[in-house]
Amino acid sequence: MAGGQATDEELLSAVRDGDLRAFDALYDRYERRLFGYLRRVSGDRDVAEDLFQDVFITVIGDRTFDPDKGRFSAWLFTVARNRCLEVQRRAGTLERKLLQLPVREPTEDADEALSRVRDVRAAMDELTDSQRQLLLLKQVGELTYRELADIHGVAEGTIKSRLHTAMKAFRRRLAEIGQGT
Amino acid sequence: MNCDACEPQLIDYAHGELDDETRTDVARHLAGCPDCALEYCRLQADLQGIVDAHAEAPRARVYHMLRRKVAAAHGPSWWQRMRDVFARPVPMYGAVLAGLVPVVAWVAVTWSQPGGSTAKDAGSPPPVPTRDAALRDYDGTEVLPAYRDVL
Ligand SMILES: [Zn+2]
Repeated sequence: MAGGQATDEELLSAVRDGDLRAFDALYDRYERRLFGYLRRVSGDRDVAEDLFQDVFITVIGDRTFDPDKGRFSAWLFTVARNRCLEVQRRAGTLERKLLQLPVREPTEDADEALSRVRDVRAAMDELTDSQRQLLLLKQVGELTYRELADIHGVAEGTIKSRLHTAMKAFRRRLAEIGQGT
Repeated sequence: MNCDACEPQLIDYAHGELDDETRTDVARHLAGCPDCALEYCRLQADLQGIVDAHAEAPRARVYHMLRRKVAAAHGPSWWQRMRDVFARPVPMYGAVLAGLVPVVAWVAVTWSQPGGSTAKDAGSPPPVPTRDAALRDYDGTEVLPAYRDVL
């Protein structure tokens, strides 16, 4: 069991049984998405890397996850979101304060120079915290409306409505940035 | 479905969150309406832009640290590693080599025996003592026949 056609849930089970190749496959699948989310929410690479390890260790070790009741990815991003909130609370900061931290732009990263990436991030920065979180969980975490509703403890219709509003705000701002306004 | 009805559905359509009937209606409309099709392409590009702008890998050391932690907590025990060794598939040349081992051993034993007896000798009369056998029976303390007292 290593990568290939194995589902996330099968890989997780194999990792728990000591199969490190399954861990490699699972890591490959979520490395960029999970870290990208954590980096954006925490605003700091070092903090995001610590959170990244913490989240992975938690989801592998916590056997309360039931594959019959939900997808692994939803579980992973739920844990990630909760970890971010815990760290923020432990640090004595308000959630919104950390969420509003700008992502530091590492000058050595050539990808950061891409104007499209800059524009998208700038447009995301101008959303409210909850809108940004929602779009990240939807697009980067690839969660369904149902999963998002469960995480936020609201009705599916509410999530759908919030997501539409967030998406429209994001696109409007992205278009304005693209036009130089 | 007209353009006004289609436009509000595009986000849910892109996310795969529409029921079958509405999804089919939207797909039909997009196939026949260049304006909505263009708008849908733009929406998809923006959605993908969010993914691209936030996909980022941690440093390589994170992977190694994490793998070590996972190995320590959930890694294979010694008996699992032994089981893996035996469960590993044997390549064809390995099987051929394993089959050759007894043959080589038999040849080596056969040729190392004095006289190099072979299977052909089985059941034949006892062999005539060879020069080696004569030497093996030689007793240095015995008086040679030439010096025996003839009288
Ligand atoms: Zn149309």
